[in-house]
Amino acid sequence: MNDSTQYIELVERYFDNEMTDEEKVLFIQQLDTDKALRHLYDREKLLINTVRFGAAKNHLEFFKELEKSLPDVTAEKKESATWMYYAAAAAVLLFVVAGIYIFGNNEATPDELYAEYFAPYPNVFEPTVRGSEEATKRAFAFQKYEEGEYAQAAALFEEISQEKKEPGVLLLLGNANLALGKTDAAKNNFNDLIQLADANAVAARWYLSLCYLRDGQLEQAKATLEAVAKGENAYSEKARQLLNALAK
Amino acid sequence: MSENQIIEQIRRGGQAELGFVYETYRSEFLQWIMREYQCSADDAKDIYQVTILIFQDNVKSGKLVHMLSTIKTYLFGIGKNLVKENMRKAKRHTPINQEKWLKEYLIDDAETSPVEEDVFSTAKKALKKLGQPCQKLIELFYYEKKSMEEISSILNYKNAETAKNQKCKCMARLRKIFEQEMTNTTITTTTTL
Repeated sequence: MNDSTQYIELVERYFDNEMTDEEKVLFIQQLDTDKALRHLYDREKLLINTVRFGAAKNHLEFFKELEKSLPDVTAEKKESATWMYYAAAAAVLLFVVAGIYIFGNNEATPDELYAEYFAPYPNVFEPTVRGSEEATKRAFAFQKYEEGEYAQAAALFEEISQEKKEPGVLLLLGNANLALGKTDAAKNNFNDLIQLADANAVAARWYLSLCYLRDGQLEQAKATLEAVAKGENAYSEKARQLLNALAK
Repeated sequence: MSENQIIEQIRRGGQAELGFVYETYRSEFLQWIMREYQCSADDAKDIYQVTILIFQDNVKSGKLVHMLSTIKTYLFGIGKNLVKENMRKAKRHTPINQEKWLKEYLIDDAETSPVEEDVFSTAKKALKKLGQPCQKLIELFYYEKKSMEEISSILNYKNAETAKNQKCKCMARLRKIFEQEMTNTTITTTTTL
């Protein structure tokens, strides 16, 4: 074993947190005086941090995908005298626009509302790794979902769900079925997910309301939307907007 | 699910819980950032995404184990520091450059001088050349902070020992590719000169 191999083992043990506190102190002391060890240490740190950089960038991509399914946020204005003036003007304008909209008989149909509000939930659970050589059924299912191949994705997710009901898989399976127009199957998926009382239950309720909307079951859609609109969550604002649209 | 349970799930790699946190505090955070710093919704989203990344990194690295306040307060605290730091560097409010920021946060540190851009590019190239499943394995270990037992289960290795051996081989390969790429870069630079 030469010095370099010994040094690499040392560096690995340091970064993998396999050293005792005493060993760490000695290692850090040696770094100050041993240029060869310092070189290997710097290189290892750069490579590990580059791995972390790549993974963090992938996470940013997931957030950007997630953003696509979330409602827009507009800035709140600061309160002032001019704010009151503009608010009054806006109220008058809104009244006129609403009048034109209501009396102009321009109400959107349930089908149109469904098309406006349905956006498939992004795969934030097991995003596909680009260039991955994995060919498991599971990885393939998520990949097909990301590609919008919902029939294949649904068939694979269904098989996975037979073994175990997982929240992420159920949410995407329901979305795939809904995108395919299989609303009964989608309703079952979302109801199963709601039963699990998981963090995704709110999303499940939102999509369940869209299943009802697509089937023209407006009373069930409204009741489900009211449950979503009650809390402060990512879907409450969208649910309130849709409820308003349905009330017209 | 309590906030501490959510944190524990995120520590274990719970993507759904991370998405839940993202969605829960998003609206309030974006409104606040846009109001306080007079920035656009897109700039606010960039800041929020980096904030969530720091939160996740703190959970995974063990800096945040139990919430002493609330997740919301914690996120707003990170966001505030992030904007201040960005303003300090740019001397005024400018949109955050996510990639540049990630490099400064993860690659450069106070201990050493900043890593030169071409060296960092070479490291990224080497990682890309490493391919799968090595890339995923070392990512699970060094970023997701998974144990060798967990990795052996995720990547279908026989046991933790096999996963550990694979990880060592993958890192050895990455070092070799990196050195080759560094040599190629030096040769190219010399030839050009």
